[in-house]
Amino acid sequence: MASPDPHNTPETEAERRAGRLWARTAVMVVVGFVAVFGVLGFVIIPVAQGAQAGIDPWSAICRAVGVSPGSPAMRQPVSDTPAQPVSNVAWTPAILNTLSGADRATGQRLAQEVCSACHGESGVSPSPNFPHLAGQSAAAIYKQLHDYRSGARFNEQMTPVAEALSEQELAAIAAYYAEASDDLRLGTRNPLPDERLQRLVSEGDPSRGIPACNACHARGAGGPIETPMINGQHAAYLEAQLTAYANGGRRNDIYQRMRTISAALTEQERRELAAYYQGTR
Amino acid sequence: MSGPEGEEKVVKSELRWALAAGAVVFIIFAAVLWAAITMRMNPPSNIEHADPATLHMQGEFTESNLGTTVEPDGRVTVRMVATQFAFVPNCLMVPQGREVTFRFVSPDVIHGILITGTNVNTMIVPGYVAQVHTVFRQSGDMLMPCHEFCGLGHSEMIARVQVVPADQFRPGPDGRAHCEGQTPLVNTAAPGVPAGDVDAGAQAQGPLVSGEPSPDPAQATQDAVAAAQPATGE
Ligand code: HEC
Ligand code: HEC
Ligand SMILES: [Cu+2]
Repeated sequence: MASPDPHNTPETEAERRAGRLWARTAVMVVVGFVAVFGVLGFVIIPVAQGAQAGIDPWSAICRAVGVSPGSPAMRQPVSDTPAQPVSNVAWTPAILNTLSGADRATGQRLAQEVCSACHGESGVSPSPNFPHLAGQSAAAIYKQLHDYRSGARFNEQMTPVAEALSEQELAAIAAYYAEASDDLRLGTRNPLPDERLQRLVSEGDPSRGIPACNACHARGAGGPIETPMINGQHAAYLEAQLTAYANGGRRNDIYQRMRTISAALTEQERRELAAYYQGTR
Repeated sequence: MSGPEGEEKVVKSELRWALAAGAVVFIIFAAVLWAAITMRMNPPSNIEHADPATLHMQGEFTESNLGTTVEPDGRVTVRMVATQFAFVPNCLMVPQGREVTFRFVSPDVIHGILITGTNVNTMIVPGYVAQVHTVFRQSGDMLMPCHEFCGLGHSEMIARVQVVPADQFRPGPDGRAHCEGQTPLVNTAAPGVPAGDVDAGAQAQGPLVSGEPSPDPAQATQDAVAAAQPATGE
């Protein structure tokens, strides 16, 4: 109680001056530190590294700062390869918007006028020569139609049909078929029970680098957006497609996803998987 | 502790510790500087955009340009797409003891790679090019799994890296090199695993490498994360 509270003693002039000196020194040290290491990191080191790698000082600085790509210590590889896309479909927001806002009524009209002759009423095809379309995802239908139209996928019957349609019409038909029928909806039917195939379908085969088919082909699985629904599809059609992927007859799958997988399957597996996915009525 | 002598002592001791801490900071900075100049080590700085939606329509990552390319100046560049649920291409051939630059992109979700037995390790974030410079110190077959969960097929997402001695590395006239037994681009019907391939079923036993194991099979620098890279040329 007797000793005075140290926090309440009035500051002397000398103490105040010492305090200011400290503050100034501290600020100078921090600023100096940032300046020295800024110059070291963004100028001296990159320029020195660039000199070793044959990169001019200005580019080296730009790379170190992050405004141009590459490392100041390594020459950046260049490529002037022309683009050779296997499909011209790019899932940009614009296309996704077109799909989600497509006019189903127009789609239905076109489908009945043009497509139903082959693909059946409401996209449920009675003949195994023509794939079902009902319940197929809109993105899958759009991608395939676009590929027929651009020549990325060829079929004597389908190519002229797709070529006659506009971008908007493709989207409208795709949106219509995605919801066309309650009778059969691709992706909802039960596949045939088969334990051995079940493994391939739900676990894949790591020794051959085959991912599980259902990692992509099940509804909502989360693979590529254009992955078609295949369960419920005609077995003959599925087998024909798998064979075409395997022998290079069909090559519009972006990044060879299906070509690689199908080439790793045996002919028998392709046939069995096709029957499996067609399922039972 | 009271009185001016006590306070002076405290100030002195504070100064001593400040000096010690300052010295540690400077030693670390000196080491960073040393590594930067002599080992070409860098902080993250590669910011290179690649639109994921149109990746397959861009020249550099067009299908036929993927894989190993020897550029006219002799440098080896590997371009690869990591996509749900495969690497394209799924096997790479690279030379031992030469500088190799990997360029990875993803059109869909975040993937990651590591090459077993080396310190090549990076994330592949859609929208950006992930670039790694490395020198493989030992030859053999290495596995390159995806190490970032990317969906249901993630566990089958494995590529192989065949590191061959420099004198056995013979790119074609177009500068492209492919794995033994791998057909570039279009796979013609080839059921099963071609002869001489790694049995990927053995992956649980770790990397399949030939020759003497070295503690430092490869040193990678990554434009995205700093790592060591001794300056070795051919
Ligand atoms: C002359 C008969 C015919 C007409 C008309 C026809 N198609 Fe096709 N379509 C086919 C055949 C045959 C195939 C299978 C082609 C193949 O094997 O590549 C096919 C395949 C498709 C596919 C690919 C399915 C898949 O799962 O990959 C889509 C999508 C398609 N047609 C949509 C349409 C639409 C939409 C129309 C109407 C605008 C239409 N087709 C009109 C015969 C026809
Ligand atoms: C990585 C995801 C993925 C996996 C795994 C996968 N597929 Fe596919 N599949 C696709 C995509 C994407 C397409 C459409 C390709 C295109 O654009 O032409 C496709 C197309 C197909 C088609 C053609 C369907 C049609 O309507 O034209 C068949 C059949 C098929 N896959 C069967 C399989 C089987 C069987 C497996 C398992 C052994 C499998 N897929 C595994 C992604 C996958
Ligand atoms: Cu992955």
